[in-house]
Amino acid sequence: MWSGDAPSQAGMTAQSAVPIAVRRPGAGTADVQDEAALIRSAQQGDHSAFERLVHAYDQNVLRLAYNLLRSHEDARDIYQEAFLRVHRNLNNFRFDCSFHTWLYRIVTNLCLDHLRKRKVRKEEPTTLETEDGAKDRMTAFAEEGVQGDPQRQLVSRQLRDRIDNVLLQLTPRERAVFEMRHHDGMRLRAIGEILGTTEEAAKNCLFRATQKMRAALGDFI
Amino acid sequence: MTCEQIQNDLSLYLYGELGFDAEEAIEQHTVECAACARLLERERNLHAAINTSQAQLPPGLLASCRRQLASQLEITAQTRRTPWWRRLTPSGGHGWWKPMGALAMLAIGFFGGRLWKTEPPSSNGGTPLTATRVRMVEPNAEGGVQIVLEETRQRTVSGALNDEGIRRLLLSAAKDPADPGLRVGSVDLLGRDSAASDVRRALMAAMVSDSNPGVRLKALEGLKPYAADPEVRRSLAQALLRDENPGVRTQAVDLLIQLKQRETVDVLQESMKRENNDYIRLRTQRALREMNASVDSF
Repeated sequence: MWSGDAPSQAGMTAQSAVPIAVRRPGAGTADVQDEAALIRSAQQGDHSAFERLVHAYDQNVLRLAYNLLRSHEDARDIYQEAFLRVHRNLNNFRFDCSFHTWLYRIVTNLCLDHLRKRKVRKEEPTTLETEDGAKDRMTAFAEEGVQGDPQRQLVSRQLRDRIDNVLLQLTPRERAVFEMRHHDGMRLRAIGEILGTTEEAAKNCLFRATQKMRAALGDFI
Repeated sequence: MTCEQIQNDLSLYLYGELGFDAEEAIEQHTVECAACARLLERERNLHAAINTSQAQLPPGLLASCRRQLASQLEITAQTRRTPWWRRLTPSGGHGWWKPMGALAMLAIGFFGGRLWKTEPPSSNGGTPLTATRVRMVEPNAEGGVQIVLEETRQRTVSGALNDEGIRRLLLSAAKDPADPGLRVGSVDLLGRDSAASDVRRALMAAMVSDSNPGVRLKALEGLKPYAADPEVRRSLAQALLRDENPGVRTQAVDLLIQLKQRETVDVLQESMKRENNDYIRLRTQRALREMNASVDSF
């Protein structure tokens, strides 16, 4: 049984195809229909349809996981686990909610579990993952300071450091809402649906997260 | 609305999460109230600052995740195809397997010879080659024995490349994770007639996700006649920007350049930022100049 693996669609309404349109502002009815056809083909075992479905979403999924967890390896694990669960449970997908909502529910649940475990183990990374690999925060700070305009580099680095620190202090749920709203541009209604809560609750999470940001960055802005 | 209410809603206002009336109220209020207008400006700066904190995906991570997922899915598919008894391997910690295995080996020796005589598989009499394995032996009520055999039959199939059945087999072989040689051969054959959309999709998937550069190159060759197709073009762009093999990137850039389409300018410019191969950089630079696009900033 997979009930523990993937979220149930109970309680979702048929009108929640909206998030797809939100995620891809250009997406019209035809796109939603194309996607439904793709899902049905994948449900019948068409591997290339499943692959196209994955490719339609995986970049955003990976970016969300990476933004939330700030680790290549953790983001990679979430990516694998999420799409393997989708593959395992696709036959149980009944179009009661949009595929986007269903997929993001799986992804955010995995990320939230990961963040919660991390909090319990107090395993916050002390390194920053940069394009050149993992670097100690202070090393990265010092290196950037010597290139270009040192003063601006310094301020920019300090600002990013401060933001990273605030992100670490947010609760997993606040962080998920914040990332999905600020960086993924999802509407609060869709975020509420993904997290299995109300738009109002998602709004409160976002409010608390931005308040913490404001308090921490007060002297920078 | 009071200043406090307005200030509480500034962030949601910038996110576009307020209703029409609430937005109107903020816009009206900030025109009249200098303090709230200043706070709105600060909130804008805060949003802009946070924008800079978005982590960029390291190049190559997505492609590598895709490859890993493809092979995981293939392993899952193979596990499903494997009969249950094959999964009861000695490494599974089943102690009873050893004596059973020994008994089975004895039985193979004893009964196998007899069976071979009475029912020999033949390759020249029209009967397909058959690999036979004894799966289970047990005494029956009449004092005799009952043996369960598993037979794997090899069959030769031939037909035209555009034959539906042949194509299906080639598409499946093109994804065989265990045998890159088989994938190269299958992708090569599929590429000779890539008019069908499922073939093109398979070639695109192989070009961006296969772990073997030989397969990726063959797939790219097969896609050449369709380089102008937007989907193929996107895959070529992906190969140019993400493939770790310079040979694949060279082929991809050559095809993209031939198209001379405005849509490829962004990709070529992005490639100039990432590329470290002199030949590809030179080709890209020349193409960008020919298209009157900027190359100076790289």
